[in-house]
Amino acid sequence: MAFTALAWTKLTSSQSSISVNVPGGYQDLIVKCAIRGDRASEDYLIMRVNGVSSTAYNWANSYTDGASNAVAAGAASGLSVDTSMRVGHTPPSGSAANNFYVARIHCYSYADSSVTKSFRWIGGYENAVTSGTVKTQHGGGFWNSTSTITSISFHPVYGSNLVAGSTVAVYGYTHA
Amino acid sequence: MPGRLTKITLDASTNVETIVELTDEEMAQIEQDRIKAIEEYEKEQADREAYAALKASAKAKLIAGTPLTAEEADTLII
Repeated sequence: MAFTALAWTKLTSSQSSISVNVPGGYQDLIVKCAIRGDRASEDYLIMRVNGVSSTAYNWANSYTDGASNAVAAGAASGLSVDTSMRVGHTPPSGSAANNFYVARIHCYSYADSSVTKSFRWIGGYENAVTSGTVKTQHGGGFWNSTSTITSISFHPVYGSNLVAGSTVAVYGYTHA
Repeated sequence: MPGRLTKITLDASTNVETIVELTDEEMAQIEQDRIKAIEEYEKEQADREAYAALKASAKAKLIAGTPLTAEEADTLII
């Protein structure tokens, strides 16, 4: 098992999305991100692959603050029911300074053209503006395609931008 | 519709970062994503409230010793 650092970026200015073009040559990809948006309240963080924004995804995301639990999903059951995967929530823009949604996303067999592309993620963040409420998130999803993944992108939904200081790192994972 | 936004792309093979303005199509996609998210949020809220109401009704009926509906019973079984 080995990890190879492939890419890392840290925003120095707000951007509406962060996209990473990835090479082949590894079994899986591991994406580590620390992301914050510019929306006053929490925002959704969505992920797409290969720039595909058609109805080609499904996903489910569970989150809890320790007191209450909630589940969100792409839509009704089906292989292709959504135009992206919601991989977590970003903290409100007024929350503690330098506070980001941190997550690790595992992209299985991203370069294997014989399998549908599957993902799982786990993350957490401090969500409150004035007092701490920490939320953890975990979920999974898939892109209903066997095409090789060549790029991964992250976008806010309600807000316009991901703010400076947000980072995305991509690692290639090799089984042996 | 916000002003013209930019996006960053990082090429992992070359480590070159590129920042470009969004195309009209990408700007339209952002609007579509927002509209869809609002619909999803409203549905999630409604589902959550409906479930909470069902659970409260089940609890009240249990205390009163009256029969529960199948939907109410489902809220008590993990």
